[in-house]
Formats: sequence, structure tokens, C-alpha cells
Amino acid sequence: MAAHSDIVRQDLKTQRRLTLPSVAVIFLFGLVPLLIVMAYSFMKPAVYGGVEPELSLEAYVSFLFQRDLFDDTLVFSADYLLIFLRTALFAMVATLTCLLIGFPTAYYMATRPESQRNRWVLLITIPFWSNLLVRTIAILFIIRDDGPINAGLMALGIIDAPLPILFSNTAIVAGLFYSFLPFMILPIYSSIERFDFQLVEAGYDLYARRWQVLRHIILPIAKPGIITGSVLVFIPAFGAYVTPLILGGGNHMMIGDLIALQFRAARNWPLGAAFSMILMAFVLILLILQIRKNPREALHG
Amino acid sequence: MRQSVRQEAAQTGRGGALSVEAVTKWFGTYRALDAVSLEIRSNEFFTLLGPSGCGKTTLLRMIAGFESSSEGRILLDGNPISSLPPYERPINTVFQSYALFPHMTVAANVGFGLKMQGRAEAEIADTVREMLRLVQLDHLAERKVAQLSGGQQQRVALARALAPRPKVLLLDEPLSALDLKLRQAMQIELKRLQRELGISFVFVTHDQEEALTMSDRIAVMSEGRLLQVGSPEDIYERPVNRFVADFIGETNFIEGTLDKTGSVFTTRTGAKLRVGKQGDADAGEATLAIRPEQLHLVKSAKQNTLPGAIESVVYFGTDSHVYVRCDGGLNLVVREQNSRGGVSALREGQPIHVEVPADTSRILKG
Repeated sequence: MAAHSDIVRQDLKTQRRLTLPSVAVIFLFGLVPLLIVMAYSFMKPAVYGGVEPELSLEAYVSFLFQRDLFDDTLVFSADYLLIFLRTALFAMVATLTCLLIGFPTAYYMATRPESQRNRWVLLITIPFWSNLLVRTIAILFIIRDDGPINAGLMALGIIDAPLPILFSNTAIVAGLFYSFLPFMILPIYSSIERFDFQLVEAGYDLYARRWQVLRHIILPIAKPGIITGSVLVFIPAFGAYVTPLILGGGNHMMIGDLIALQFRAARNWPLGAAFSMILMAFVLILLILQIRKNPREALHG
Repeated sequence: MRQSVRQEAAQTGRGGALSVEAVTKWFGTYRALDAVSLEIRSNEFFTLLGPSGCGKTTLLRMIAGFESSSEGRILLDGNPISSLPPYERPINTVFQSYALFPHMTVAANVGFGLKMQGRAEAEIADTVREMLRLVQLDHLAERKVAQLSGGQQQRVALARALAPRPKVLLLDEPLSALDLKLRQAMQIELKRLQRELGISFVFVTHDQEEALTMSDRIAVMSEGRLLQVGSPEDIYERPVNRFVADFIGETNFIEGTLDKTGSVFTTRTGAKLRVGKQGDADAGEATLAIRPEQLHLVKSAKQNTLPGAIESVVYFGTDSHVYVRCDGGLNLVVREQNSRGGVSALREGQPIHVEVPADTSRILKG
């Protein structure tokens, strides 16, 4: 017995030693930069970028307040907060749109004959073969004034002048939707792929109509996939940088752009770092709430 | 509570009567059902019996409303139901795989049909409790179905299908996944429930023994066609053709010809056997069918015997199966009671005679 537990202990030791390289990589390239960002957020900006090594809460204070130019008093300012809220709204609308389009798509894929399903999964992942920037620019070409959408609508005589889609909120949400749709489809697909469609028959047999079968049988079983998909779309949409920059034309800022702005043009690194921390805290709180609500189903699949 | 279920059954009248009228089903160019007509009476335990692929499950799915018929129609208590979706038919199904909702508790599964019917919460709770007591699972109401054994899941599926008090209950090979002991217990249980609740049961199985022990009437099907409908006794004692005789229980077949009087059968080797009066068989090519337990082994030749030699003896507890090779390559199985003695004295290769009693043999066409 003692010999046996010795072996087990030895095994555990070996295992721990073998995982060391990957732990080191995660620590070095994941945790350390995060700690640096956190540290910077509590410092003062240097004149030409970078930070002065001096403790300060100024960055966090200026998220909600503006210092008066003349008497240095703090005045409440909602500018940054509004950008935050708008970002959250965009991310939410993009997530909902992804869900509305992604669920029927995933359902369609899961109900194809088994031999065809992999082909559909492949088709869904094809966009990932090219860079996000390239895909976003492709969207720009499609929705701009002389792009195929406006040209088509005008040729059909539905509109006289091109619709100003580009550089609008709609363009940003459409871009986010397009960029992250596969993240919604694939988890939902995997949660209903093994779904036993005899359950649908059982539902009909027990007096459930179509929408009742959807609501009481299909949706609850697809729920883990829906939650995972929503998280996977919402988080990157919330921190999106390329999409609003290109499709919003710089007029419709999201947090991602705001953060980039602080590090580059404004040369206020602590403020950029503070925004990053606030963004992270916000997402973290949402995730914790989600896990609290669905302790078993959250983040599966 | 059980009392009130019985009263309810009495109040709502009896189980529904189904008429299947010349129903044909094509799947592409494959004909799954070929002009099947049958009547299922009110309160009957009716079994559709046949090998896999015979169309019995297709017929059941049509009654449930999952498949539409290509031709013909189905009536419930005289009203056509063929165009109704499943959720508008007062018919419930116990699925072969049970198809229990995995995300719900046992109680929620059983109450699902009632909830969809829009019944009041209190009524649903009462009925669920009653149904779970009926299948002896009331102590498991709050479990998730995945935590139950196969036999328990089977009972939940049954309770779920019975809870809305359908006029007809359809059962698609519900016992096939259970082990032998449990299956036998459930056979008795199902029969009891059917009597107690006053619901017509349509039971699909490929197991002839199950069909014989449970059914009021049996329909034997093969290749989309209905071969014979009758009581278990009818089917076993008076099969209409070779397929039915062969499918239900074990049967010896002896090929030969029937003479014009219909009372003398001549085997291929020229042996003459007297047979009982045959109603429908014509003179000419015919097959004599006889059950192993109706044949007897005798030491010496007499009237109505065929000569042969013992090939092997297989011991089965209460009886033994004696395999006899007769002249002309004819192989017969004789079932002899072990309690009568004499079987243990039989030796392989020993010459013997098989008596074919005239009153129990049956002549089939072709």
C-alpha cells in the first residue's frame, strides 16, 4: 500500500515537472503583460508616451471626471462612459443578431445527413482562412456608396441615391456580426448535433405545437451551446478594434479604438491601461453573473 | 387514487376504436405498406407482429401521425384522423428508445403532455403523482431521467404517455431493451394497466412469445402485407400460411400432395398420411404443417408414421427436442415431455418412427 502511494506521488511529481514549460509560457506571455498593464494604469503619463514611475489614481478618476482647466476641480464627464455603454450596446446587438441568424443555421446543419455535415462545418470556417482586416475591408467594399448593395438597389429602382451605410453604427454592427458569426454557429451546432430528434416527435405526440417544441425541448437542450456562443461573440465584439476603425470611419468610437488612441496619438499610457482594466473587469463581472445563473451549463461545449 | 383513474376511464367511456382502411405507404419506389386494412376494437390489446422491415412500425407511426399514408385512411371512433397532426390526435406513444426529455425531471416528463394541453397546475401535479404511483416510481419524481435505470426509464415513458389519458396507446417495441426477467414482469404490468385504465393498446413487436402472452388479438405482417389477424390461439393453432406457421413458434413442414378427397396426404417419398378435414386446401401440391409437441415417437411402424433415425436429442428441462432424420432428407423436430420417461434411453442413430396424428396436422397451400 505504502509502495503504491509512493509510486502515485512520484507520478504526480513527474507530471508536474512535465507541465512546467507550458505553465512558464502562460505566465511569461499571459500573466506578466497583464500585470504590467495593471501597474501602468496606476502610474502617471510621461510626456512622450510611456509612464512615470509614480503612484497615481488619475487614470481611473479621469474615466468619469474631467479636471477643470482653470481651478483644477473635478467635474463629472460622461464622455468615456458613453463610449463604454455604446460599445456594450453594439456588442449586445451583434451577439443577438448572431444568435438569430446562427441558431437556424446551426439547426439546419445539424439536421443534414451525417455525411454532409462536415462539409457545412468546413464552409462555416472558410472565412477564418483569411485575415480579419482583409475581411473587414471586403465588407467596406460591399457596403460603400458605389458597392454592390447600393448599386443593386439603385439598378432595381428601389432607391434613388445610395444609402449611407458605411461609417454608421449599422456598418459597425454588421461588421461585428459578420466577423464573429462562426463563433456562435459552431458551439450551437455541436450542442444540437447529437440531439435525438425522436424527442421532437415525442413533443408533438404529447400535444406540443411547433413553437412549444422549440421552446420546451430544442432550446433548453441547445442552451449550453447558446451560452458558449454568446460569450464567444460578446467578448471579442466588446473589445473590437479593427471593425469600428474601418467601418466606423473613426467617428463612431468603441473602447478598442479609445484604448488604441491613448497609447498612440494621445500618449496617455496610464489612461489606456486603465480603460483596458475596466474593460476586463466588466467582462469578468458578466461572466461571473452568467456562471452564477447557470452553474452547470456555462462555458461548456 | 388508483380508484379515481378507473372511474375516469369509466366516465370518458372506453378506449378508442381504430379502423385502418386500405392504407398503402410508398417510400420512393419502395412499398412499405401494401393496402393494409384492419380493425382495432375499443379496449383491445392489439399486437402488430412481424420481422423487422415488415411495415409494423410504419403503420404505428401513421396512427401516431408521424407519417402520412400514400393511399387509404385511418379512422378513430369513426372520424378520419389521417390529416390531423400528432398533437391533435388523442393518441400517445411509448417510443422504443423511450425518448424521455433529458433536461427535465421525472415529474416534468410525466406532466409534459398535460402542460401542453394547458391543464391547471394543481391538476397536473395530481395526475403526475397518480401516474407515478401507478408505475411505482412515486419516490423518484424529482430525479433527472439520466439517473434512472433502463427499467425505470421505461416506466417513466409509460407514465408520460398515459398521463394525458389518450384513447389509444401505441407501444413501439417498448420491452426490447430490457433483460428477460424485467421484460416478463413488464408484460404482466402492461396487461394489468391496459385492463385497469380502459385504453386501447396497439403494441408492436417482433417477439412472437411476447405477442402470444399479452395480446387479445394479433396481426401478423410480412413485407408490408397483412397475413393474418386473430386471437393468439387462432394464429398459433390455425396459421393461414407457411410464413405465419414458421414465424409463430416452431413448425415442421412436410411437402407433398393432397388427394381429391382432402383426407390423404402423400409425402415426396410416397408415404401416405391420413389428415383431418381441411376446409380451404385444394387438391394438389401442398405442405403439411405440424408443431413439434404434436408429433410422437413410436418404436414400430403403424398407421400415420414416418420411418427415420434419431439424429440428436437436446435437453430443455421440462422437455427435450428430438431431431429425427426421415427418409428422403426430411428433418423433423419432436418435442417430448421429460417426465414421461423414455427420452433418456434414445441413442443417436437409433431407428425410430414418427407418428403424425391426423387431428392436429394442418394442410397449407403450396
